[in-house]
Amino acid sequence: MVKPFIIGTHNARDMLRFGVEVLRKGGSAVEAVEAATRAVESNPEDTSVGLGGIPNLLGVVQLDASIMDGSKMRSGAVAAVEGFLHPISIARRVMEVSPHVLLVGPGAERFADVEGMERGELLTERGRKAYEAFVKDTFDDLDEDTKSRTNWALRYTRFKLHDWYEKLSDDQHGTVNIMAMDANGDVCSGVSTSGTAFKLPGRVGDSPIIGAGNYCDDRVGAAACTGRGELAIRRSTARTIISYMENGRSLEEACIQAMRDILSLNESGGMNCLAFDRNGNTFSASVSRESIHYYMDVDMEEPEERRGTLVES
Amino acid sequence: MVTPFLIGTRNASPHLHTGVEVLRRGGSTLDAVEATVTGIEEDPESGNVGAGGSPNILGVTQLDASIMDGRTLRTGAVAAVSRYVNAISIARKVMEETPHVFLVGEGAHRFARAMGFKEWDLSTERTRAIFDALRRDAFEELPDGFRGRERYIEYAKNSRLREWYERLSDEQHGTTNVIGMDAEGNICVGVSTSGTSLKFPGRLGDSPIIGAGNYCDNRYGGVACTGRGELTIRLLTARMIVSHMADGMGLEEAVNWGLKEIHALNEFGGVQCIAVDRSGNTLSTSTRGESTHWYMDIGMEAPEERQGLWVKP
Repeated sequence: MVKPFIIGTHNARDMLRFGVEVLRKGGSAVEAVEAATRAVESNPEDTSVGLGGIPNLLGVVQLDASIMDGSKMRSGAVAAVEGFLHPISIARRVMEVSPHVLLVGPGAERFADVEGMERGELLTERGRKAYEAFVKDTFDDLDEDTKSRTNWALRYTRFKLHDWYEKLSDDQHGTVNIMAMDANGDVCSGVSTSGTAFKLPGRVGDSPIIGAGNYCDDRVGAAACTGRGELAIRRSTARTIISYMENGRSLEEACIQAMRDILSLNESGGMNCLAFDRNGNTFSASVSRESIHYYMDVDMEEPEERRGTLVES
Repeated sequence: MVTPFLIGTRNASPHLHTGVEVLRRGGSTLDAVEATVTGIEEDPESGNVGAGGSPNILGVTQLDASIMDGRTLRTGAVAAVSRYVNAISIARKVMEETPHVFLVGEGAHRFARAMGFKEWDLSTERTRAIFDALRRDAFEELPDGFRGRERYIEYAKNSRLREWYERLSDEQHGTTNVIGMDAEGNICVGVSTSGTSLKFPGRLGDSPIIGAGNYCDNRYGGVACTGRGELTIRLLTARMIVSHMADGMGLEEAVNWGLKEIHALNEFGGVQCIAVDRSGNTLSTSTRGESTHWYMDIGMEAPEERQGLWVKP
């Protein structure tokens, strides 16, 4: 029997203990993932998740999150949610009480309201400053007419977005991945993000897309992604990692092959994955940087840093 | 060399000739699929697609659509679009004009406006009749003073919505799937829907989810799904069928496998899919009865109905 554990991306390091605490008390993997993810969402220092997330092109923070329960292959997700502090918890409610799996925009907010989810202002002083700097940098040379917000958003959409996005796509992604296995051997994976900095309003990346940025199955393991979500969507990356393992590849081979699949798209932008298998082995891989992740089991006092691999074309 | 053709679900059959005409003139599969799906979207009689599409629980029709290009593995999708009828064309613009692959809700509206799409009133006699029936049946016991739209979800969650939903998920999934192939073997898959009748506002099914309701890759084939999208999202049905073809399974075997997995979830609601392999063979399958699809190539005057398979548990 594998010792209950939780793993996460670098920005989850200090929050894994909240999940471990749940696991120590005999809580489920779903509860542990939710607890740790909520802690990351509450951290204003993390500019890619929850409170303090970098806003979209109009200066509004829009959050996406998903959770999957590998024991029942159930999942819940929300996207483009404004004004709520914990999208991971809304996603869990979508999974548990609605007949649906994915709710977006005002519909998701209405559902969150009915479920009594906590509201809050997501834009921090730091987020606002980052946005102002972006607007100043990008639009300083605009004429007065175009400077009105609607006009530049429109013009930007039409003419400038690609260039700008390619420039940002290497370093403006965050997102947190947290996944756990509990004492029953049940697994859960959770993903939460504010998406790409200065994204188009309503843009949805891979985080709330089951199979793209998040997938798990008790029989196999769990996988999640960060990076340029557009690429993981096109490759169904998380689902594919699990599928590669089902078909006999090892954890490492599955992650490396999935990153090669991304590289073969031949597009700009980074992609990283984090995964574990049934036996509790953990691994991370990236196409663009040294890959690390953090591991903590119920007997540990501190999370342990683990190295993954850089997959190059 | 394949004779260029299109296949589609029943609701696509009256519009296949529009796309076939595009192929005859040497247009791309993308152009052909878009033309046929547009015909369905703008036809108020076409059921759960575009104008006249089924309303959500607040009486609003919200559209979802996606398009995938099997040559480049590029995709575009939109969801929760309520003010524009041309969901498939907006999805194509997302693919071609933005660095993103998926836009939802107000953000998608904003983008559609920037791209010059025309606003459209999606409601018809039919949509109003469906909503009135819900109002009469599920809400007949509403106390006075409890009739505001705001309260509907709250009420419905605790009463008969699930019953309604289970009943409608048997009858009302009228999503359209269209798949095209040209002489060079380029595949394109288009999916468009108004989603399940009386869905929660902001609910997304599998239609705009690349990998769930839509996937293609020229090297192996293409797949699209209709039915209870919540199930294919959890399994990434379209993507996994294509993966199995990549691993050497034949079309029939792969599609059979995909729908058996749906049965294994043991949930209410059925799933159908239509598929092509890279040689141009076509197939349709259903978890719940006889299945047919419609085929038309550039040598034909009218579409032909093709029998598919009933995949039993």
